Amino acid sequence: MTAAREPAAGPRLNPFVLPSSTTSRFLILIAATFAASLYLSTLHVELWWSVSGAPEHVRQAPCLSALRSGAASSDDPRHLVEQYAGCARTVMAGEGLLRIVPLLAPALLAVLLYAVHPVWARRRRPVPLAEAGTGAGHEALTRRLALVAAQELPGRRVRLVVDSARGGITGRTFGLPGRHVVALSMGLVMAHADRPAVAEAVLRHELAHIRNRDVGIAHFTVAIWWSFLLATCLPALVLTALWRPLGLVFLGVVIPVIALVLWLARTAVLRAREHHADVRAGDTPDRREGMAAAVETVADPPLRGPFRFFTSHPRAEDRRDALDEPGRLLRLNQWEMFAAGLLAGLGFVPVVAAVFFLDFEAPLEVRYHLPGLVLGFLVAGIVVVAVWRATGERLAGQGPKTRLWWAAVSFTAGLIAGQLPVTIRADVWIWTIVLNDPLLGLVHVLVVLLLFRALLGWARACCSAWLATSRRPRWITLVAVVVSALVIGPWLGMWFHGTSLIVQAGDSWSVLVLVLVAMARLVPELAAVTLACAFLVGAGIGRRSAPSREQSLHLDGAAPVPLRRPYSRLVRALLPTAVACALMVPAGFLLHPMLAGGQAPERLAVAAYALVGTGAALLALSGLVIGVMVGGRSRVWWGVAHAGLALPVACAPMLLLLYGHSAVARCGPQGAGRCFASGALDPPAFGNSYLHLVTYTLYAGLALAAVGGLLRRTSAGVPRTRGVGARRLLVAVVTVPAILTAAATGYTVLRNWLPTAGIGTPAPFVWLPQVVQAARRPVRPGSVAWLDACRYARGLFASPQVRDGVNADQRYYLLTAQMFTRVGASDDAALRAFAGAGLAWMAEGRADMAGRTVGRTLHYCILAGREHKIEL
Amino acid sequence: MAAESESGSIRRLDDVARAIVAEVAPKEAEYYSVIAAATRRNPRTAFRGGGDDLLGFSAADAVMLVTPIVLTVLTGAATNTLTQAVERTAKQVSTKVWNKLFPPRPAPIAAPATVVPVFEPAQAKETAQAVEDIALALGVDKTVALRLRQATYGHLSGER
Repeated sequence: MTAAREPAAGPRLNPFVLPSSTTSRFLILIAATFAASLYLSTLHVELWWSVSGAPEHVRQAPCLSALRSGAASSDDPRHLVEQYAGCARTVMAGEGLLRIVPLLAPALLAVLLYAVHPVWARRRRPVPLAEAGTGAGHEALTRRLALVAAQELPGRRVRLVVDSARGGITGRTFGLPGRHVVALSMGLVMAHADRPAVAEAVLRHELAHIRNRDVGIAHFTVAIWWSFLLATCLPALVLTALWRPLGLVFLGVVIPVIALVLWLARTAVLRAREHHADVRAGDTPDRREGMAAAVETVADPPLRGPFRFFTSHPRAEDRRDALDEPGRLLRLNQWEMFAAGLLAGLGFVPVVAAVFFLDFEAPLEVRYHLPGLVLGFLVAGIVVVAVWRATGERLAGQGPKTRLWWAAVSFTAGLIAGQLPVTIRADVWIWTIVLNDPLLGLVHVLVVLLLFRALLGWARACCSAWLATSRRPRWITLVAVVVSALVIGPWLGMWFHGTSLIVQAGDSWSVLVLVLVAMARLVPELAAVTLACAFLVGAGIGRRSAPSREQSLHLDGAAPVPLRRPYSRLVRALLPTAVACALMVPAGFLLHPMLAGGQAPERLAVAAYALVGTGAALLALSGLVIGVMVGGRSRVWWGVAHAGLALPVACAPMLLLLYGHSAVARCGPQGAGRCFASGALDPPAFGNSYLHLVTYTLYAGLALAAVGGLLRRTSAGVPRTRGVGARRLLVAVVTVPAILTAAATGYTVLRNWLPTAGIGTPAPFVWLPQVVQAARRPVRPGSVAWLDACRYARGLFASPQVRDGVNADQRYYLLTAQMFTRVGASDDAALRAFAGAGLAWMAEGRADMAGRTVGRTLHYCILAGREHKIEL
Repeated sequence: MAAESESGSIRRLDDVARAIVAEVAPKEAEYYSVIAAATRRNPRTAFRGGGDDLLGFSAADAVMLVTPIVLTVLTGAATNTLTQAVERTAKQVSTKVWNKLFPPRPAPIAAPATVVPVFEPAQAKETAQAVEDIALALGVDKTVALRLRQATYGHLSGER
């Protein structure tokens, strides 16, 4: 028995305001099981192809033979290449399904085990409490326990039964939602006479599991474990033993490691739910005493020290600590961060591989952003919610300082460690870079570290802003999870894509820069940044007369804490951007001589970039002013978020001004209207220019807004209301046009972007003269051996340069044209068909199809090489 | 060994067990019927918990049930299988890893109407000692275990 402890002074923190760590840990378990199952499934599909003597070129043989037989006679190479691509897609999609379908078995088994758990739990035939005994004493006991159940769960029916042969003061809860059963031990029933407080506390603890909605989580956790062992590990061992017995040595190492990770994830869920049930059952001073007495009876798990993480129940000491100081349950757990990173690292590559097989021609948005989004939900569900919980503790004025840098480091370390065993796709393996060039690898890792640090800082700012305004904190947390997934998902996906590019190109620093440029200018990434800013600013939009929200941040019957709400200052943030647009009017006239002389193709880019650069610089500088006006030293995020919304809005009128200057300078005052209309009124062209301007403006503007915030000394936190009435007319005058502008610009951007994501047909591309020239070079069929042509094609795109990321001079398409003309000269009819198709697409201005044909050509080259046992 | 007690009535297993339990743990005697029925259905659960502790409160066994102990030993005594019953039960409650992983089949509990003869003093003493040993192995308080031994001896030898 431990000596009685002095309860902590003051009300304890309420760990139930936001979703608990039980849910986060359950998410970890599900993700870990999914990643491990997909990993083992991928291993076995590869093993099957290896032992069955069916490498990829054999599986694709029907497609290759159809292509080759048609190449000699077909007049329409585009149709032939489309047929080949369709055939290859079908074959690969089937292979992708082979990896995914086996996952259904453990999933269905887990659901089945969960569904039948009440039957299993009743195997000892517990008897209803009322029928367990006779006499007045037992009737009084039955009434009392039923009263406790009604107090804890008013309006809900919970069956109380007794495990007749079970000693000890204990209980367990089981059952499907709405049909929960609490099984009390006979020891508890008998102990009620002598120690009613303890017995009732144990009952309250069991009922707290129902109140915390973790009964299903606990039984699903157990079901997931058994389904993984039975439906994933066992078949994996059996198939390996049958197909390649020596592989059992490898599995003998891998499966125990995976099982260990899953066991730790499982016990982490079960321990967390016990802590939360203890706190829920002891959430007032009186109940806390009873719960503390009950916890004193708890048997310590047999494992000690670090091995205690292998047990499903926490130590009595830990339970007492959590009961006395529930704020512990809210703090950032670095192991949780590490686990989330580990799963992201472990799971990304199998997901990418599965998506690749389902559609190997899928655009970048699908191939990398979709897996990124999947992992984004995992990261958001664990990491972001953890930051929200920790921020809640800080808002209540308790707890240690949140260590976001450490959390980011833990996550990143987990991410890199998680990649270690995933060698099934060496081209998306960070360790390839790390081992080839440690410094380059370190810088690439630093990129993801900074990304996550930024995410965590943003999440903390969002929490403090939204908790002060939200009526339903749990709901807004879930919304934050969705928004966070949309914010971090694309960036995470692109980071892995960057890994792939760097690996393929060799250890090149220029590729790293290219990756960063590419990350910055893609639509999903730009949209993610804007969304992040909008979500934060959105917390402050509302009537200034509305009172701040009070949140029940404490237990023990303490009064809710009023949190002072922030108010957005969008109108104020738009003012500097309006000034920047106004300054562009005279600045543009100064550039007219250069613009007028920019008719020659070689000077066109320089003139255009001078004009765009001036506009972007003015807007970026307005970001600095926004940072000073809206932000402040202690609320840098607030200023940055306002800049992140104001700048994309301001880019639309700025772009119209740039079009106007360009039109007047190039076509003169008389023809300016026609020139202006050809650019500004064409949605795809306008959307493309807008994206460029936003790219050049946004990141510089955000950085300058942060600098501006640091320049101004302010009181801590987001700005508070000053109790002044809103200038409604001014707000309406500014807001309505801003919203209309943003909507129109969004429409044109979508018109521009959707075709690149594979939706709809894009507008014809206008090639630069050097691209046209390269595409029209005369071709002498049969003059180049197929292997040389393929090696040329593979080598051409192997080392992309930084300017490919900017693509101002259409260098990618220049290389594309060169490749088609070279391949068109090969002695392989199929290769010539690819070249014919590619050049035909280029002649029609279909940049998207020309790009796809490049991919198809390279795919054919790889298969043709393997037919001759040459690895290209 | 006589089938009848001094008063001439035939003694049934449940009657003797209930009397012993009532003497040692009066509160438990109120629930004797359901505990005995559950023990007969699954004797292993009565001694080993049944594996549901994973999702339970995880309290220490502060309240030990004596009914399963009494029923097990009386069954052994009544059916002349006391040695086997004690051995099997000892393995049930053993903390050895092997016994935890591969516990032997528990000794079945005889039917309620099984006749319990009046034992010779030596035999009654041996049975009472077995009850005390199992109780102590299960973690029953020493005083309660001693009272259990005394009560068992008294009832089996016909003193009570």
